[in-house]
Amino acid sequence: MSFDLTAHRRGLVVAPAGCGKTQTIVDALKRGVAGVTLVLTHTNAGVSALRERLKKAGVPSGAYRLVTIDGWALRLVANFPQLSGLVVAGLPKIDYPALRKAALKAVVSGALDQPVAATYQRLIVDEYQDCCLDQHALVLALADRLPCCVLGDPLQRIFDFRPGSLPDWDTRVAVDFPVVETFAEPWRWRNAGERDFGLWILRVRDELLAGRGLDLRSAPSNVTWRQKPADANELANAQRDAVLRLKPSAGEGLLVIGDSRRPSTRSDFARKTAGLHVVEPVDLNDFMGAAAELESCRGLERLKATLRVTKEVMTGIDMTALGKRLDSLHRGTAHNSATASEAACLAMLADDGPAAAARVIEAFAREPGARIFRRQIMTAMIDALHRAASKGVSVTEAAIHVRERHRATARALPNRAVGSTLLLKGLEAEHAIILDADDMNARHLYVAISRASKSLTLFSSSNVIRPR
Amino acid sequence: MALIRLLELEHFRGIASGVLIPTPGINALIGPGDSGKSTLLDAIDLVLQPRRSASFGDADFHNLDVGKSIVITVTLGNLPPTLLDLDAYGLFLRGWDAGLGGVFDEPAATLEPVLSMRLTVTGDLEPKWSLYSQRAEAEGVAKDLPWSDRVAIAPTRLGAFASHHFSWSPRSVLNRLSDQRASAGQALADAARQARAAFGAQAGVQVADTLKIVDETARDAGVPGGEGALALLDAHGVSFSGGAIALHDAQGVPLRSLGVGSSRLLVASLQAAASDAAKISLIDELEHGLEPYRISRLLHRLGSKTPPSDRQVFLTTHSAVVLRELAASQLWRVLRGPDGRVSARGIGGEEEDQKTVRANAEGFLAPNVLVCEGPTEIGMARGLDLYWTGKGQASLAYLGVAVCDGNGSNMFERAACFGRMGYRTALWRDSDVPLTTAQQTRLDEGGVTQFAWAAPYSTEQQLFHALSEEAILALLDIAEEFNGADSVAQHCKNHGVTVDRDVVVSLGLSASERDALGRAAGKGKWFKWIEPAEKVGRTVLGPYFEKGAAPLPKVLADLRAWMMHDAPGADGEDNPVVI
Repeated sequence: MSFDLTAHRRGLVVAPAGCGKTQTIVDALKRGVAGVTLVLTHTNAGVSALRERLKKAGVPSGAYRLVTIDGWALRLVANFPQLSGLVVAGLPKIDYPALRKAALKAVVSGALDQPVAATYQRLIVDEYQDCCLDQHALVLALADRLPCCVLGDPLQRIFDFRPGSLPDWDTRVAVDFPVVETFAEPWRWRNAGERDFGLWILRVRDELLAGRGLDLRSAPSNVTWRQKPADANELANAQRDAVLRLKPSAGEGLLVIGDSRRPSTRSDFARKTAGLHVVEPVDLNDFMGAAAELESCRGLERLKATLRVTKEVMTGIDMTALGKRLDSLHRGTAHNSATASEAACLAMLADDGPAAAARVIEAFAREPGARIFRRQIMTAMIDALHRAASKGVSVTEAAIHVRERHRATARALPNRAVGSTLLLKGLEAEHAIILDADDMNARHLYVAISRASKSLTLFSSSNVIRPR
Repeated sequence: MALIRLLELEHFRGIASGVLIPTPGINALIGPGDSGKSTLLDAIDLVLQPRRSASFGDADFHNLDVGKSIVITVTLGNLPPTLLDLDAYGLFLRGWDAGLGGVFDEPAATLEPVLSMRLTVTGDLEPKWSLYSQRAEAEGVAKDLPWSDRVAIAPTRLGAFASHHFSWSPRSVLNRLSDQRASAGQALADAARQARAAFGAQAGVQVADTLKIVDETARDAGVPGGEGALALLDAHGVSFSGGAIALHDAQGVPLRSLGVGSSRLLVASLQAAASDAAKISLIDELEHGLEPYRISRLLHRLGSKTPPSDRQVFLTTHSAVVLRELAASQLWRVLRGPDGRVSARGIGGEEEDQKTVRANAEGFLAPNVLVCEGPTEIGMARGLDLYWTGKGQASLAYLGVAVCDGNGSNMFERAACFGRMGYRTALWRDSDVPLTTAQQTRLDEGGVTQFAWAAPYSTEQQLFHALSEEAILALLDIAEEFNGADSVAQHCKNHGVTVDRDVVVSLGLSASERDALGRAAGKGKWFKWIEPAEKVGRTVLGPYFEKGAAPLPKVLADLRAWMMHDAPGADGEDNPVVI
């Protein structure tokens, strides 16, 4: 790739999905330009993924400092409470909007101009479409002090939960950072031997950007359109059928893109579809909820709560039958001796400590009929319970610790995963299935179709999709 | 490279607390012995010199009180980019206000970013080095500079003996001249092995009896290896480090056998050459072992004549030669208050200060300064000193009083300059010209004590008016001795007076005769150079002043009392200033 990020004093690089954005950053740092480059992105997962890439490319770690925007702001504010007007030390919870404003205050004070210039040679900000107004202001302030290039794609802007929280792309972002390059080569598809598929996705992107629809009639053979049956059961069967029929070759992955607003429909789909695993949000809400529930009760209630979370992450548990068995085992009237999982349940009735709860989940996971489809939640729960037992802390405290550790590590994607555009953005696989394309706006639709490098299956009511 | 903006000491040796705000370039510390000059150099050295450890004793604690910690803080400015690193040192970056001479805990746009390095020694005598900021301390975060950065800012020190700089020992200036390092390495290891082989078992003969006992005992005890033990050269005993490699002259004589002066001059010059790496040099007693011309050459090498650069030299001196070579702005007077607080006061950068340093360098090296209007007063002061010393009283040298030439009308500025610097200062002048208000104000501001005659008398007039006839005849003898009898007679005649010694003895002198003689002495410049004036002081004033007419006895008695007040700087000094 010939484009050189470091050649521009200030600029915006428009980078559609799969067009070598990350590689451009790697190349910029690999060029061995003098000084340290500050690389900012949005999520800890993004930091981990980029760090991994840089390491693999052999970029010396001294050539860059890689951190989230908020992480950088937090360190700055913590180091200069007076300059920033905010004391974060000892706060139980970080007020991010206040944090960003405080960091901005410290930077524009001018007090740190010399250290900033001495520390960093230039600034690169990734995933710029996800910058909120305050983050944009902070990056702009830094751009007044350092050469700065930002990379992003307005059509991948899907984290716009509150209207007006993001700077307008055309009138703000592209004005403050003039466009210096728009990538147009679909490297991801080209590398997979599917350049035409990639070019089609780029054409679709243009159409969607222009406010027009997605016409599947002109799609290459990589794309399969499945018309949604009117009946909900039939739709569910067809969706399941599409997943089961897809037989990726070894090493290939499949992403199933479900409803971004109703996580439960996705876990239901995974429960009923062999081989699928659920991609969890970074805040692991379901896990935290289950941990709180476990902590709130004792004895039999706690066993029930443990069984509920077990049932939530794996198949093969019949609560009614289990209840009867436990009852007869307890009274000594059972014909068959207790299975390992039943024994664990009985043990927990005698001692309801967190370690016993962990052993219940572990025992059920080992049962031959069990298929675990929310492994991340299960592992986190077992970790948290063991941690609570060994450290003598509450289950909730242990859960927070486990979640924070999880937040900081790169997401390892299951081979066949079900998630949503919000969860799968930035991730990629050879194959993708969009369970219902009717329900998506243009940006969600673009993020969804650009996940797959080889085959894409869409369910929609028409072969010409007009996004909301 | 980093320069010291502020040095703060607490509870270290003779210093209860102390502050120094040096300038870039040369900082010459002067002041009476035991004022803490060397302690200041030691303090800088201890904080900035990269050490894994340093040995401290109870005596390093002020007043031996180990209950309170030694805290030495050096605040560095002009930081290189590596030390400005936000990610590494963000919590420690502070702001230096050069105008106020103070550190703010966080940087600001108008302040220079600085780092404070702190050495703390608690009662357990374990030194701890760490970066310091109030907020890091509040958060309990401790961090030291990485070794490489500490090495980069490390000062070089030139003590009384410089010989260790001539080998590649750890703190040698040679290591600063380039990145090359002498390493004993393989060659010396091989040499050690050869030595071992050549040495062979020859020691065995000398200790044969001992070996025999070892052999028997080992057999007895059943310790294998002990039997048949040999006495060989221990390869580990032949250890070489960089310090074993030293500079030699062309004849192979080690340079460390150079004379003290030559070796210090060479090392100091090497320090100057190494200034790219080591920006801070510490030099004890710069003049030690050096002739005056070599002193000026050395100071020149150290940058005495170049404008303040990005290097810094801290030196102590007791030499007027050194002072004359330096600008007044490069001088710091180190003062110790009675409470053990030590402060360093700048001599000042004004033209008058500079002239005072040039003209009266000696004065800056004593705690008490007597500024005299001219040679007459200087000579009389010296003569009186000889007289009093002859009577078994304390000499001016013992009392720490320097006698300085005020050079006529410049005397006011000279005296005021010393006074402002905190020297206990007195001015001895005559009274033929009244003081202007401005002159009086300057003297008062400097806290200068004045000794003067009854107006409108010159010194000669006062002497001829107040002394007895016997003393006056002695004055005339001295005048004739130095000026010739004819010349003296002519001067008298010019002023309408003839002196007949017999008449003077029998009838005395009238007031008008005394007045005429006083004028003749002044006009004829009888005593206007040091030698006659000194003789006047020793042989006339000393023996006769107490019986003279007012105000002579009181003026000289007061002057003597001022001289005897020997507590150095005791009351000429206001509160030690934290600059």
